[in-house]
Amino acid sequence: MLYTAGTMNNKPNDPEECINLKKVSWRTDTKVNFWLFIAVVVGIANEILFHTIVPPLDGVLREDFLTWPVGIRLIIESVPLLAGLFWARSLARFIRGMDELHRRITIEAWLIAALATLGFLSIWPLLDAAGISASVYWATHFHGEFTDKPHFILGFWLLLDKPPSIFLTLCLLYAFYILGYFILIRRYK
Amino acid sequence: MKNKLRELRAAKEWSQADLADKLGVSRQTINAIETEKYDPSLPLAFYFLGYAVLNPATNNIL
Repeated sequence: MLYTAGTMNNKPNDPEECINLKKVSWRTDTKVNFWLFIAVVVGIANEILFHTIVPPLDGVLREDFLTWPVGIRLIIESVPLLAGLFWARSLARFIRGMDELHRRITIEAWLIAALATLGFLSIWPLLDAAGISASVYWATHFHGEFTDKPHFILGFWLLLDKPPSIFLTLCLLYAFYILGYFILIRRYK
Repeated sequence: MKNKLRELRAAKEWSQADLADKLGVSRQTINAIETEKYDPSLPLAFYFLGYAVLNPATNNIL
């Protein structure tokens, strides 16, 4: 087989179009991460409506939700997971279209992200049992009311005070991926 | 792995982006190969060779 440049004229996918604010392309980002967005939005909605998070948003429909048929509850709870699977498919396609250096870095970064998320979610109950979340809770509340600390950080922290949701898992996964990517890309600069 | 890619590219007065476009890879890949921080795969090495030697339309540089 004769290898010529003529066969490699397609522009490869650039992972930084999704994570580097200087190069970000909303079109590419939407194409790749659309299902992640759906998974996160539905996950947040499920948390707010059906699960307990923080006192002001304390599972608005939680009582009703528990009386609904099991099938409907299963479908509602499965939507973020299904959206996550569709996201994995579009991500795999995006990775397949990268050039070899970016593909290597991205796969390594996802490996790191997967292991870091697994490690974090595994060790969290142990830290929780040691009193981490309780001490944060009491440090940031005053007689059950929030202090003036940023609420979104508190909300995220308190999400960890129970079995992890798919929303939390996806957030951790993506955060560790971005961290891993920018650490790994430094090796090749 | 040592290579002469930077000299060969400079002889053609191509930028890294030009060469990257011709080969269908990213500019970062060309830079990483030139700075010897990344060794190209065998298929990509063949593409380099093909572009430099085997493809008469490219005006040989080797």
